[in-house]
Amino acid sequence: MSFNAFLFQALNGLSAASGLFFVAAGLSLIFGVTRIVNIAHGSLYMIGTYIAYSIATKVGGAVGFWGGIVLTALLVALIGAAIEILLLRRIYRAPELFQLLATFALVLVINDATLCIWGPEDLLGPRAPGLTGSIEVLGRRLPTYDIFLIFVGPFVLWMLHLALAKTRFGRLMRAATQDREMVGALGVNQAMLFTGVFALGALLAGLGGALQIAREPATLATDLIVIGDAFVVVVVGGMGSISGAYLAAVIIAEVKALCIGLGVVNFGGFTVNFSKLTLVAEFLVMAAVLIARPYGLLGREQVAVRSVAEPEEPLRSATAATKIAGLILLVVLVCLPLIAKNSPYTLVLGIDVLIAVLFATSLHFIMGPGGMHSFGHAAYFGLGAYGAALLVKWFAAPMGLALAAAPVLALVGALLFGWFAVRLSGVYLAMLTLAFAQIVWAAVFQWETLTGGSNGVLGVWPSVPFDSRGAFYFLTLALAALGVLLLRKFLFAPFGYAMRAGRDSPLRAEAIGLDVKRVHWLAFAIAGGICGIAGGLFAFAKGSISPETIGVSRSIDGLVMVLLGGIQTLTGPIVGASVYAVLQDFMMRSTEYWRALLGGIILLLVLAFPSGIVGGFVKLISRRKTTSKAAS
Amino acid sequence: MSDLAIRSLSKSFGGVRAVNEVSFDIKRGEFLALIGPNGAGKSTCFNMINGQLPPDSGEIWFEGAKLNGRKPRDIWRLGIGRTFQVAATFNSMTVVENVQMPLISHANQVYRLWKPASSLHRERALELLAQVGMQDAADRPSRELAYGDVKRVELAIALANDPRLLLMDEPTAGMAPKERNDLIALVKRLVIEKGISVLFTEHSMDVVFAFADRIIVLARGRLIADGDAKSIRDNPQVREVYFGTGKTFQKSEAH
Repeated sequence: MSFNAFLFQALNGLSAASGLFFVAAGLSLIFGVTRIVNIAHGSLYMIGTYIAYSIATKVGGAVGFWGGIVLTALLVALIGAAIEILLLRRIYRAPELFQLLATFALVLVINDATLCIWGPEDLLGPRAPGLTGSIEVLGRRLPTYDIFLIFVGPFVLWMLHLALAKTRFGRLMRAATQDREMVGALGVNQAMLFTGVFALGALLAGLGGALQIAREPATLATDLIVIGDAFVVVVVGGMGSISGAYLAAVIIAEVKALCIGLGVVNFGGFTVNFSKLTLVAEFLVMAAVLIARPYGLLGREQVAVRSVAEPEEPLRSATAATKIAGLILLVVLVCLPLIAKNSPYTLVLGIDVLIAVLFATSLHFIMGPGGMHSFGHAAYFGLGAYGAALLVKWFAAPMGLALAAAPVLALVGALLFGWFAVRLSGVYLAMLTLAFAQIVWAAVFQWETLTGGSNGVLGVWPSVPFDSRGAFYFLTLALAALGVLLLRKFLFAPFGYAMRAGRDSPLRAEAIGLDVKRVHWLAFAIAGGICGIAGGLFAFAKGSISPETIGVSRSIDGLVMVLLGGIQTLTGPIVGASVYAVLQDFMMRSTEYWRALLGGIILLLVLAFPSGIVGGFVKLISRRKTTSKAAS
Repeated sequence: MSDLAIRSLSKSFGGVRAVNEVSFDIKRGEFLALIGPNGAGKSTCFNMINGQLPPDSGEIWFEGAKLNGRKPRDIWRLGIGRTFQVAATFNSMTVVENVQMPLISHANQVYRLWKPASSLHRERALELLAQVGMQDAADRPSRELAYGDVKRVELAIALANDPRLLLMDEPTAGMAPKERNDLIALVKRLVIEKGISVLFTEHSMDVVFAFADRIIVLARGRLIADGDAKSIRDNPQVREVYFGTGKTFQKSEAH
């Protein structure tokens, strides 16, 4: 690549950086003040693209386009404020992860609302009036609109800096970012502050979206893509740092642009197609930054937020009632093929649910007792599934061998990724695990010769004697039950206690000779290995495996299952996974707008049971007990 | 023979010399109080001995082993127990499980995956709880305990690996006067029984003068006095750092 072409790509990167910066800055501001990781931020951006498209095409002309951008930003800010007032304000006292669950539900609702209003087609907006031309830069043509974008980013950064430094609102925001309890203690109206910050963050997202319509069409896939990019930018730059967000946006956009510019390069017989690396590039940057600077480029170590979550009950071994209920459940599950003789679909669903249970329980193992909130558990599911499928595809391995290899491969992956992940905590750990999952996904997606790329691996069917639906169901049931019971056993063993000790009080744990990082690392690996079994079973149950089944959405599904059931109980993930899997299946078959319905149900559950389904029941029962004691 | 030997220990934070060339010894079985006004460097000193902070220079020796550069968990394994200024227990566990945890760790059973932890070393843990008078609360969740009781449990945790030296950073912080006295009296009784040496920091002079065998005084990072209760009480330098010279405001009036 010539030097000129390199510079040209760098300019391209700068114009892309502006869009990334807007979303990331909003996300970062919101997180800084409210401590909410707003997954719906990408959705706000997406709404921005659609609203701006509508105004620009309905009104038309320069007024429609440029006025539309301003109006869109304001409208999205209003939507943001409404979300804060109607929903988030009710759950500030809920555990951090529940807020996350609520914003994820919003993603589902907003996506379907957009589908309902604007339809499924991609919508390409008009070109920017007044900036339709292009000028020659370094022998290539660069659209003037892109040049405009290059300058908008730093301009907004400058404005934000002024606002944060000079205005009362800005000072309050900075104060709240450092210690929001102190700000509350000083008599600042927190509700107003939080609404304001949310509106400002939404405004930035809306602005970013609106500015994009002249470059890219509005599409329904925008929300998750944008939120993924924005997370990476915020984490690389440092949570809560606006300048960090810009710096990170530039670095990531430049790295991507460079990858495209480099194209296919030969390294002495080794061909590397750099343009295909764009999907992984940003996550590689993030992983590298987090390993070197755990709090991002310009971030500071987070002040531990005084936990508002309810403390956890000590582990008690199962009561007779629980044991009997468990046995009955097992018997029912064993008899399911007989009960459901006339509806073969029940078994298909049963297998799905069992796999989901195993997946969620393994995630809960590190999330609950380990306190490590993995946002990338799909990685180990994927490693297990692809490990098994590829053995079948390339070596015609029998199913037994393939299924045995699945947890091993997942375990090895989890050992590798976990070694880095346990060095971080909180949101940073979550993001690093997400990055690793994206790397696995991208590797699978782009290594076509090995994995079949986006088509995946086909023809992974169970071998005799498990080739019938019923037999495979029994196999799944046996392995799922085994996995769940093993994990439970580990939790009651010294290892599980050491895990919780390290989570409860790392200082105290180290002071009694525990190597907390090592314990958590091994726990991470165990969870990964068990999750690999779920992946292997999944591949054989479906007969195929493709990249889309191991993407971000599977990681998020896992989180939702664990949180739905309740993170502080051991039966929580089992109930959560079952409910979620059945609900999802039922709704996907009954309505086109199943996402909105699912999101609505999650929102209701979050508002009604802030400690999960099982957690809610446990609390209800203990309240009954205390009232009946008081009465007697 | 001395159990713990501190030689020319120093630590700076930016331009502040928090601990400056401090040297002292603790003899076996000694109950040594480290006192000084706020910011004197007591906690920094402590955190270097227990391995949480690396010293800039100087040496720490325990029974002939150099502690510099060792991790807190390795220092614990050498036989040094500790309690925290703000009591730290495992909130999701019962009281007795909190004491079983260090026993499991001491027996190198942390990585066992099979046998339930609640059955391991329970007898010994109950014994330890009995020594601090907490056996009745054994099966209660530790997060439900009153703060004074948490401190007692912490003491039981610290005694679990039969330490030969106990480090206690403000063991009575946040407690009522009566509770303070009781706790320190308990510690004193236990360490005499077991022959443990203790290094503790304390703000309550009543407690210090009543129980400490020897007292060392830190001020602005330097060791300014070392002796028994009477000699410390009469030491003019100690009086000056605690009560001041009364000249601070005279000076500002002169300006």
